[in-house]
Amino acid sequence: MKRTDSIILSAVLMVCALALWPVGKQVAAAGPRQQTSQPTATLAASIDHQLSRVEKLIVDVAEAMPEEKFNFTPESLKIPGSNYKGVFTFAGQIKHIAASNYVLWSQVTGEKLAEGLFNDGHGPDNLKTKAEIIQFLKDSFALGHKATATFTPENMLRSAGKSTRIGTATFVIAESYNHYGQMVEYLRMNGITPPASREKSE
Amino acid sequence: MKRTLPAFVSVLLFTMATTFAAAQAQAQNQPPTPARSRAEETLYRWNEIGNKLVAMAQDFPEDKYDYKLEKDERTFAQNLLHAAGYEFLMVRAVSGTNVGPDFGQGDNPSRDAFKTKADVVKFVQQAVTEGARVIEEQGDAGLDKTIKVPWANKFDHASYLWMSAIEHSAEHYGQLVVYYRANNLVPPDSRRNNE
Repeated sequence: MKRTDSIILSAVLMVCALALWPVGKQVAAAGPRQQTSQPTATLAASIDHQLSRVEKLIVDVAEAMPEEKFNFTPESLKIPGSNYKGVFTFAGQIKHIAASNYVLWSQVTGEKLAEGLFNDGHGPDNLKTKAEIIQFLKDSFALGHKATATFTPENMLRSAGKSTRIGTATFVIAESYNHYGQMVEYLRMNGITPPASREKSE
Repeated sequence: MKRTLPAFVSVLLFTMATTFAAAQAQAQNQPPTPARSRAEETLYRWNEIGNKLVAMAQDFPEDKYDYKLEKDERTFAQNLLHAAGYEFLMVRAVSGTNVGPDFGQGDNPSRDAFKTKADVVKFVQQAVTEGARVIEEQGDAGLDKTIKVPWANKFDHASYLWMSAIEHSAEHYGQLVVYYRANNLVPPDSRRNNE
């Protein structure tokens, strides 16, 4: 190796060492379990994160279904040996999630709902287009975010409907996942891979 | 008909009506049942969705356990194993133990390790039982414990992990509902609701 090469190599190594020195110091100073872990969120942020997660999944699935398939029900496929009589259509699933969101989150916020909004779990009859139905869905989640923003350790055990505020939040989010699971199957029955599964396989 | 019978019936009906009205009024005047503790509410939701999956596992015919609606998705049995596997990961993280059978890495236990319906049912039941035990043992204080999440570089409250498992199980329950009806079967919980 020439002398100039050795000098260049030494300089490069020195620059690298200086650049990494503060990082090494930081890692050494931190405890073994805390070194780079993010801190836990507040109660409100934690519940809101759960809500945002299911909101994204459901809105993405709703957007992924073509408008002409919004009234799809597995009954129409006439799968031999199946019985889907009376099950929700794809749009019906969305409207049910949104209507339930409105009813349950309003128990936390104390909001008064418009007449006919719940409609026995079917949502308003006048919502027909994909855009209208998705907007109804998004608005229902907006009410959810308004509710989760008010959560504190002090008020989470206050009454909300038949349960506590935190109990209601757990129920409404979990119930959304049940219908999300059904919507995923409806998409697949139409040859569409659910967006969340697309991301995983990419 | 003698005159005494209509009089007796009238008295009887009047007594029944007043008794019913009094009972109704008493029920309305009673204070609402107090809220359960957070741990009790979490336990209720955990058992509710967990037992729905157990009921499906027990009820679905074994010869259809490898049924799936579409290609590129999990079979009926794989859905159950995945949901229960995820539950076990949460239980292990919160309890700091390695409870439950060894099902390898991740949350997709191999069907080869759970060949029969009885194996799958047992695995799903175990996950629900172990989770319930930990929630009960740790109580409200346990929900506020911060846990270093083994699969991510972050801390979460135990309550968040329980919620994640409940939600995840609900998602797969929803998928299995559609599998059920594809086989001309009504999910056990829907049967119960229609009774």
